[in-house]
Amino acid sequence: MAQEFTFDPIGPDGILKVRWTAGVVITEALARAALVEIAALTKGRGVPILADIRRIKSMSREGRKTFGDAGAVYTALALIASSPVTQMIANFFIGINRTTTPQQMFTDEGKAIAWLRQYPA
Amino acid sequence: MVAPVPRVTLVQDRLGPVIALITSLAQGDLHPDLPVIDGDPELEAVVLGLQMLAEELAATRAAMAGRTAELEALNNGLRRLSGLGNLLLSCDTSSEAYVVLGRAAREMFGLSGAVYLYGASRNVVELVTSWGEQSMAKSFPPADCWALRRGRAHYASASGTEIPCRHTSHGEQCSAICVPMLAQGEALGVLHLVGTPDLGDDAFTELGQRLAVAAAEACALALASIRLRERLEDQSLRDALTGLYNRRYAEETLLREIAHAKRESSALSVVMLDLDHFKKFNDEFGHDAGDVALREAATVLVESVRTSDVVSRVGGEEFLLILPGASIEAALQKIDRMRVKVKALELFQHGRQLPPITFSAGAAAYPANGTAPDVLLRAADKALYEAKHAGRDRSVLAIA
Repeated sequence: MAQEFTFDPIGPDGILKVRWTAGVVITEALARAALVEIAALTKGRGVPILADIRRIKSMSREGRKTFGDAGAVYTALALIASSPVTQMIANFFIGINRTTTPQQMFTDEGKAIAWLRQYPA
Repeated sequence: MVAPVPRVTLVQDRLGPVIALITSLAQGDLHPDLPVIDGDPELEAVVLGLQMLAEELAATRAAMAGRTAELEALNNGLRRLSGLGNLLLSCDTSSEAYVVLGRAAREMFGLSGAVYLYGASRNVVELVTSWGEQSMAKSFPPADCWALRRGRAHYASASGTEIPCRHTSHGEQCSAICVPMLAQGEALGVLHLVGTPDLGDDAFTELGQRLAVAAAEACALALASIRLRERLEDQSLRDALTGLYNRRYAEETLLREIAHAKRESSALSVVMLDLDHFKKFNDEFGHDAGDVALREAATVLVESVRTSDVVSRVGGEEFLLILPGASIEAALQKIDRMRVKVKALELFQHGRQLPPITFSAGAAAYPANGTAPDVLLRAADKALYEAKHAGRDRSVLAIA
């Protein structure tokens, strides 16, 4: 499962960057696997997360729900999208998962990182 | 030169699959076949958006259906609970309430179950009613029930890690719940419900568990109310000093027993009994000593009769015995045995030994000495007077 997503090393800004590989459909199982690895990397504390979904194919409802229920994992979530499809997925995810944890869609990674830096790492 | 494709055709070609998709959704098909769109990212996003909306709508519908079913179940449960509460409030006695409770609980939960109440010693809880196929313990120490130990509901699922109560013989194969029955801060007992191995964890939904708690609460309040009523009723029929029945109860009983003797053509004897020289005893040793004598004599009388006989205190030192089915001769023998026992009593008050007491008695029989209560009592009273007049410490039979 590890091939479907990768993590950039956590830098001094404390932001965890998850990159989903091309053509992936994010299912519940993949979402759970990602959350397990995120929890291992962050030792269970919430951190700002950047999720790069620019190249995914789609995300199942169960996958969206699994991530939506995992609000404690992150202090803020930036979704990087590009195509109309990934932007639709990102907007839908943010719109459906109403949470108090800040989450926003970006098409520019630099702006996403700048936005995430305001949240505790 | 190729003729340009009309604009309307282009739009129809492009949007046709999307329109078809929207039409399917509008017709209620939330899982339609999705059109494959290649090389048109915007339309692909529109289709994906519609697909996600359809998924959310389907999930919301399913959740709503589940919620509706849950609310219907809750409504049914509350209706039955309310019915149970009303039925229990209409019960006159605890035993009547246990029957009602057993029937209603079986209907309400559809599972096996039981109600246990604390015994007088509170060292044990005893089965008062049970229902369903599963066998239930007749009694058990309160320590064997987690709900009674902790004062709150204890649920042990068939697959869970919760420890089942020791009193349940169904072990870990069945889910079970125990709910303490609390009323006015006091635990009266426990409501125990058991599933079946087939049902497993499904025996108790969260709603079912909440309903069990509500049912236990309603039952506890109703039972406490019935018990209080019974206690007050009992107190109104008993003499506080000796615990014997009072005159009111004795008179009602005599009326009933005469009717019964008449119907069954059976014997019935009544005995008026009076402690000898009681005023002198009181004057010499005090009223507390007199109370000791009355209590001890009452104990002997009660221990000397059958459970069907009625011993009552009808005056200061005067007792009335109603002996259904007893001939006058049998009554006389019984009184004489009592006399020996009363005379042999060793009475003490504050470490001081009191003198022995005796009694005189007059006995009358139905129908030989009368068929009406007052006539019968007058005959027994007259015989008692003769016993006193003849020197006390003796029994006299009424003359037929």
